[in-house]
Amino acid sequence: MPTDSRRVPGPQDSRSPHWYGKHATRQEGDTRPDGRGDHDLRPVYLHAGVVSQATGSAYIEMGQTKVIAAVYGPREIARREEFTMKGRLCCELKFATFACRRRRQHIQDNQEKDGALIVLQALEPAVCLDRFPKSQVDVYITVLQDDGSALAAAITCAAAGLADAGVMMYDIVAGCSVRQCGERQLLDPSVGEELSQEGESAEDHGMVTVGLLPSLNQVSALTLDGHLQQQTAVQAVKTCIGGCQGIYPILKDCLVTSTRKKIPALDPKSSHASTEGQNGQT
Amino acid sequence: MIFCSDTPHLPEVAVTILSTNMAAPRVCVPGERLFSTADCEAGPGTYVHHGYIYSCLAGYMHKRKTEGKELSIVEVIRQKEDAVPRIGSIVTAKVTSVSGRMCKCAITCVERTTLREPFRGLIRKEDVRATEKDRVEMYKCFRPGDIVLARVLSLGDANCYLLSTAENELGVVLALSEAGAQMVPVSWCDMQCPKTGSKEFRKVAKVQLQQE
Amino acid sequence: MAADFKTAQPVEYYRRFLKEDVRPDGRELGEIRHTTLNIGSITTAEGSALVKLGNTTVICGIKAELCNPTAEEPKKGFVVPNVDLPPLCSPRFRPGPPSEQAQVVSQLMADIIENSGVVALEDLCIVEGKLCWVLYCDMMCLDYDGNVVDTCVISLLAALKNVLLPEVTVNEETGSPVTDVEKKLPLNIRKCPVATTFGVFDDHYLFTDPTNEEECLATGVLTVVTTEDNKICCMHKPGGTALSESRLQDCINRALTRAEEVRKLIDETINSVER
Repeated sequence: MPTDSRRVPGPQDSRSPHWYGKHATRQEGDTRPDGRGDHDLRPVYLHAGVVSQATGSAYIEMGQTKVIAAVYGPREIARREEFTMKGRLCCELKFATFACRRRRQHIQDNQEKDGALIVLQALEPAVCLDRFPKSQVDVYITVLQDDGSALAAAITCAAAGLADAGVMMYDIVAGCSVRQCGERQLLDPSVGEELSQEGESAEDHGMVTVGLLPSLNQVSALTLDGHLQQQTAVQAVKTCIGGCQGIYPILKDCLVTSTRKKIPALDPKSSHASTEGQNGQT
Repeated sequence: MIFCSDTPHLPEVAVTILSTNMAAPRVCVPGERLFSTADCEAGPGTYVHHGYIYSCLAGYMHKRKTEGKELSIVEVIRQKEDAVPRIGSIVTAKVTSVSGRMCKCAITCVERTTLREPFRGLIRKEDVRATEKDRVEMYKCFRPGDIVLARVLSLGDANCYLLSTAENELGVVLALSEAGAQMVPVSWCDMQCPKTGSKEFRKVAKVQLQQE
Repeated sequence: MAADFKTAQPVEYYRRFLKEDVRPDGRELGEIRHTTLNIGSITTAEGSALVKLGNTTVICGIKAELCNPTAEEPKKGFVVPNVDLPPLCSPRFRPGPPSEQAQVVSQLMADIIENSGVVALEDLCIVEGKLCWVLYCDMMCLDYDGNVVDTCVISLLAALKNVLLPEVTVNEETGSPVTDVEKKLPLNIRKCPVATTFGVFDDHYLFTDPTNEEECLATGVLTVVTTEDNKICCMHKPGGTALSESRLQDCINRALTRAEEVRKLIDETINSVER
């Protein structure tokens, strides 16, 4: 194994203590472990403008899943490439080493590269790339804790960050996942449900993630793992779209609040608002 | 206020409009449907799709009436626009290196917006001044560290924006002398150090006083 | 216009503020930004803490794993600190391997852990020569507005205090470890190191807790790390302006006062979480 000379080294190899523990058996039943119905979202908390150094940023919590995204740019294209009249969108996704039950490595793995690509595909159709010729917008996403649907949360969070950065967009993007376990269709699955073996032998078993432009009602990204029958797949995508539409009002509210806070100068109530803000800070 | 001697920029207009028109502006988000194209005309910060005007920014929506036009213009305003240099815009740049043929600089402001990160810019020898172009000597026009006001000529190549200072109002606006003091312009091609009294050559910008 | 003057001549801009004994963000020279703590929010980590010092934000998550101790030190476990300054936290960092600054801060954290003795490595031993704990303490900066060292130390200490380790025994017949997830034990925290960073400007202005802008303009930086028995366990001064003895003493005194405040804040927050 190659050694990483730029980090503080640990022991040669180590194992998670959970390897040796008894696995908690998941109870089977009609309700989900957290008491939700099959088509219910977990509570979503979304806040834009969290990173002071970035042009725009957002933080999202969906249940215990926590994702932060920061947007930089439009800035100079880092690598020297050919002249383009179109701007470029770059996306990077990273899981914190402590984000999952097993410890993740510092170096970007395939799952992260794959995730970054899906988020990029979900965002690209929404951004007006022709507005910033020969520059690029960087989107950096970090999953601080993965309790399921991390990819969907990353899409929503990155889109909120882009809008917060004032990047021109045709629409915002909302992301949502569905886990198909046999007959059951679980919206916004937690990590336990993502990994559960329930219904694996059934004909339909898989996971669908959709990125939706909610106002234009267009799907910008779609990934499907596992095996689903055609009709089930269509139904799963529909459920995802429903979930995205459920997130849309939260996204909107969050952006209206952050815009009012970020640019009070244009608000006629600004004199009023700014004194309020000062009171809040002291 | 020396660096931006250009016509007022978009947000300034917005502020004056809003203070005269006291209707509470609506905050809209990208993709929000605003009006039908039959009722309004699409202005900055919006786009048209299937006969409707949509917002493409998270910002304040505003309807503006222009003379001679039947429909009012809808625009969405956000003070911090995605500032990238465009052809014709006035930029503030800091000189990083000077050679016989050109001068490289880092663009720090576009119009009135201060950039978070600089863009690279380039002033070629022939774009320094409008007259006697062939007698320009780069070393007598710019020194590293000078703050320059320039206009974007073209988007240039993949690396640099092409800038020009070939106008009276453009050129060096702030420079330090060899003694380290801030120099005062004495003519269009000289600046004087207040400490030592020595003169140094620069392509000096004609300072415009603004009523503010 | 202030913004133009600031971008054109940042040093002169800053000097004018310091002449009036005030900083651009309104703080006095010795004032430290508001510190907030959030402990135990990451449930996938054995211990975690999020610290905000003004805008600067660092999250520390500790993952505990089992490993074999080295042959030279069969009674000792491991603590592996790493600081990540990702491109997410500031435009000055680019994607790729850790920057030089990240490496310096990581090493500084390792030195602080070793010199202060915050965790006795013997406490991490489960079976001598066979099995011990390794604590991976990963600190990730989420918003870089200067003084990342102080913030990292607070997050590390708070996260260590939050660690709960499952009880591990070794099955004598098979020789393999058995984890009891139900039984969780806190870590014995022996010392509480707290860092205080000072910036020097123009050789004679001394200010605490520099922001990103101030760090860029400062001619020297000094970090003093103290423990609760008023001992200095680490000093870090990477080059820059020389400091006189009396100034240094001044810094140490201020660091001691600050450390007391931070320890109080950590204890209060931990108590409020447990209740």
